[in-house]
Amino acid sequence: MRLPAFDYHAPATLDEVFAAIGDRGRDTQLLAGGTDLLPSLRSGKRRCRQVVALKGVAGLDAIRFDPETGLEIGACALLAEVQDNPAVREHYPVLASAIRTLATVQVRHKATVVGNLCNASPCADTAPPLMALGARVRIVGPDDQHELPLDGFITGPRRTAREPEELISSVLVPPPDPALRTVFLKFSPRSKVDISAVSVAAALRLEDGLARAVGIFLGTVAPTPMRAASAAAALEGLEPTSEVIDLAARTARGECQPVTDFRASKEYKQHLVEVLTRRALRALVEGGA
Amino acid sequence: MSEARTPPAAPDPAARPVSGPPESLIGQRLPRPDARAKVTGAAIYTDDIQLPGMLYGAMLRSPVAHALIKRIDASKARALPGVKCVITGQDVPAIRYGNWRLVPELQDETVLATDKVRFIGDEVAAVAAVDKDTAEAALALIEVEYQELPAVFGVDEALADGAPAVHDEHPDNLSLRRDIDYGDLEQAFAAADYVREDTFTTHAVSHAYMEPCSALARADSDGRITLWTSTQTPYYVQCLLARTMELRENDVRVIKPAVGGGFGGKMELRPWDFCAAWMARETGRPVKFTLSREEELATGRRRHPVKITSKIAFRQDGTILGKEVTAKLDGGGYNGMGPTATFLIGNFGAMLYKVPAYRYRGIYVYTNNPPAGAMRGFGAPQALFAGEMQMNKAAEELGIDPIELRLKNAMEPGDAIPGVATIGSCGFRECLEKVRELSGWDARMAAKLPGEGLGIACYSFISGGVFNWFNTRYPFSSAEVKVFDDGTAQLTTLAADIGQGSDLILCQILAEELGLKIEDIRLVTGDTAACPQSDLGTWGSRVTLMAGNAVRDAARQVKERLAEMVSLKFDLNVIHEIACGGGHVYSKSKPSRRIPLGEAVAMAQRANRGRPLKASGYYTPRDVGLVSPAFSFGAQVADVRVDLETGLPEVQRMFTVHDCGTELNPMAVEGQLEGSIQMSLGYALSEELLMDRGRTLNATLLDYKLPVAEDMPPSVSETVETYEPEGPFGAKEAGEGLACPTAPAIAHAVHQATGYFCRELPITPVKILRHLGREI
Ligand SMILES: Cc1cc2nc3c(=O)[nH]c(=O)nc-3n(C[C@H](O)[C@H](O)[C@H](O)COP(=O)(O)OP(=O)(O)OC[C@H]3O[C@@H](n4cnc5c(N)ncnc54)[C@H](O)[C@@H]3O)c2cc1C
Repeated sequence: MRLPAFDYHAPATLDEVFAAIGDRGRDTQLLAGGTDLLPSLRSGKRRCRQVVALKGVAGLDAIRFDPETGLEIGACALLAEVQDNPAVREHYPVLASAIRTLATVQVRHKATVVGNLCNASPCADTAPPLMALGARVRIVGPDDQHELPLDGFITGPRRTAREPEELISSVLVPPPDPALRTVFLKFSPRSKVDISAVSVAAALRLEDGLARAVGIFLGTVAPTPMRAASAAAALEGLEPTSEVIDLAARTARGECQPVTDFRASKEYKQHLVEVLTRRALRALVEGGA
Repeated sequence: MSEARTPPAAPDPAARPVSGPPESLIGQRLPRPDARAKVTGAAIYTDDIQLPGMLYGAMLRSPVAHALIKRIDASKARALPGVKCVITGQDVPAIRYGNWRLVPELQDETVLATDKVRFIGDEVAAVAAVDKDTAEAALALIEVEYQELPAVFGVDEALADGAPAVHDEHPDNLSLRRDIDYGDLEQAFAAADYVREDTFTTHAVSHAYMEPCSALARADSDGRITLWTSTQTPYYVQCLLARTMELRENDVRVIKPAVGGGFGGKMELRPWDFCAAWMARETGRPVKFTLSREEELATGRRRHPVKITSKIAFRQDGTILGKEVTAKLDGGGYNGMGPTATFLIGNFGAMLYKVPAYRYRGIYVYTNNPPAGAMRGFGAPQALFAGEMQMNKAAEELGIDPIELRLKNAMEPGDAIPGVATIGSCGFRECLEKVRELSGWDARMAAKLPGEGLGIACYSFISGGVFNWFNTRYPFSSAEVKVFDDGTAQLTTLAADIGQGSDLILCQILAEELGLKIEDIRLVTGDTAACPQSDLGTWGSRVTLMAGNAVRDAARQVKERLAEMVSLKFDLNVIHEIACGGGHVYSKSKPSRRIPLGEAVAMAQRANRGRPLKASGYYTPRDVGLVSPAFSFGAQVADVRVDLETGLPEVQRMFTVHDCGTELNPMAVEGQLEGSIQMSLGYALSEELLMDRGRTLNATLLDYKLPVAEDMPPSVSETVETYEPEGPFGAKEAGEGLACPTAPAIAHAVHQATGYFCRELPITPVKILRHLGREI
């Protein structure tokens, strides 16, 4: 299983990127860290005629934080850079802690957050926490640009809402909300360094003892990272007693649609969704109380 | 030479059995000289070697588990530009080979399939081309017409009446039997107060050595071959390559560069060794093969899956009266090292404890799975998983503490497995007592908490094998020692360091004998043309004991010559004992009568017309039973916490106390212990080659899960010092035995924590949760 032949472009500006893509968007793969792209080209899971590398494009690696506008993670910002960024650690600890569980030190120094999202795997570990934070992606095309909520951007395994001739220039995270409690839990039954068998990100505010703005997001248990809307609704506006939390956790279990893989069977993943959702919600409620 | 470095006062360091005065190297924590090169990427492995005009090889493997080859047409592949050579089973001599030269019927492989393929991955053809892409493209152009045959994938299925025969010579798929019998078993069971029978199954796992197999061959104009290959056993490869190529053994030179691990998986001649050599001769250009990780995982050798039934008889007080073990090994398509594993499972079924009556019936069964082979422990991990799990269950039912039950039956020095082995040094009891203390066993057993448990398991292992299945006519280990007038010494040996650090240990042994420093020793190794015949290589934890003894034998002969120089120079009384130490040769009773070693060499050579001062040393075990000259022992406790909601068992700590005789280099022993724990953690919990009708489903390191650094539990260890008379400076093995107790110790701890008793490895959260009543 050798890497198949393709044309390789290393543009220095966005204009050059779009020129290289031209009308061959469907035959093009963009290259960030390549930690997903190269193995998938080698195994034949992805095919392309040309690869356009983004790492030489000036400015795409920026990580910007502004208390008013929030956090912007450029397409080429490395996982390790985001994980170690002081603003991320202070204002978005859930993202830093999720990245900490993603792959290994070596991979985190090569791979990007945006690559993790654009790869559109159900187990992308940055997706649930970024969804819980209400992140959006900025999509740039040859002529214009627009934004989409991250929740909904990933449409299926290896599929996103991006048009073939577009790229994601950055991920945008809203300004920090000091009252929003967030947590990310990831589990593999095999090793501490593994693709998730199940992951859960949860967020809520406690207002007068009631749970508000509840978000529960699950990884690896559906064709895409998913919002567990019914589970969140089971908690929204209620006092988070252990009965209510149990109900939300059971609801999440009913809501997910996992498939069996090498890490866990469908039934075990369903069970894990319940256990991890319960633990996540408990952690949120107990965490600040 | 500084005067401050006075030679040591008596006693002579080399004569002290266990640990000597400060300048003795025995027992020193010496770091590995090759470590820096390996971690910085400077070490040269086979795949790093490039020769001018070199071609790249690739193997065509069978996509089906069992089929007749009706037709092979390689003409399109041969016509592809850049392809220099294509060979199939028709193009090369159909010579059967295998490590069991002593029993030719057991040699059941040809380098390329001739008329039949027997597993998915069986080697069918090989290509050599100007680059790897062309070689792979050519594989796709080779047309093979297979006539598929019904296939068998399980041991019981293969043994059933009317099952398709994997080898026509064995219509019942039974490749071989191994029996061990002694004592009166019927009487033992009749007299027993308590009898139990358990069946355990163990699974296939990969060696997962870091360096995939690689071979590079060059042929000279006379057709003689030089082969660089990633091997544990250069001598076997030399002999078997010569045989398959119809050459004399000395027409083949095998060179072993740095090797990135083997664990038993690199101790045979493999098809790519042959194909590289054959195609190099055909094309006149060097040819290199390097396997991919996927090939390694999907088609490589693996640990034998075994079904073991063990029946054991006790008296009420816990005394073992007798034991009956049957084992069925799933061998896959060929024998490989299976005959040895089949015997060793029987041997380890009766090790550790005094078993007065024993019956073993082991069978090796052909299936259409990828063939298994030797893997660290060579049958012992499977046998001891079954045996130790059963001991723990018996202890529970007899109401005896598991450590007490073991102490009651523990083997002692002088115990024997009749006709098979006699135990020399043995610190097993001390190991058990110390590990009880170290792990806080009694307190923890008295106050059990749900989800938490301690578990114990023990091991014994061989220090090299005695039985000469390769039928060599050379010594099992050889060494040549040369000393120079600049105060250095050279050791030349074919003993194969494959990452375990034996090069350092052998240099250490030589330096100790000659009273030199490690830096004074030069090592020439890993080349059959330069090294004395022979050394059987690295397997069965044999190198320290066997090659170590060969080194001492050679060193002592050199020492005698050097000692003569001191006697002459100082006109010493004949009763003076001469020793080496601190870089000098000196009189033990009058240490001031001394000569620097280099000067003594110069004197000896001047007196002999400059004839180099060197000696050859050998070791071949004789009269030490069938199995091994010496046995290690040890006991291990695992402290495990199980998350009762997710089912996840997490090892909190490992406690190990072991007896490897004299610890020559404690740092090297610790490395073996840590590596063993890592490997066995995977065997117990996360690793399994998942098979579907002969196809390996998880043939990537993403899907086949090895434990990583973050998974490693903290570990505490102690050694029990014994002195093994057969071993160099009292040493015996520390390489494989330690790989055996971890899985049963963890399984026992999980049993204590949850009640789940593992009869089928690996232990998984789902199995634990199901036991706890969850419907998942
Ligand atoms: C050993 C190992 C362990 C891993 N463990 C984990 C893990 O635990 N959790 C996890 O989530 N992942 C894991 N991964 C997967 C991978 O490392 C991550 O998904 C990583 O974040 C991908 O980023 P990248 O920059 O390498 O993406 P690339 O491989 O460069 O790109 C991935 C895909 O996204 C597309 N793409 C990249 N950038 C853009 C862009 N700006 N606009 C549009 N499309 C784009 C590419 O065309 C490609 O299709 C692991 C990978 C390896 C090799």
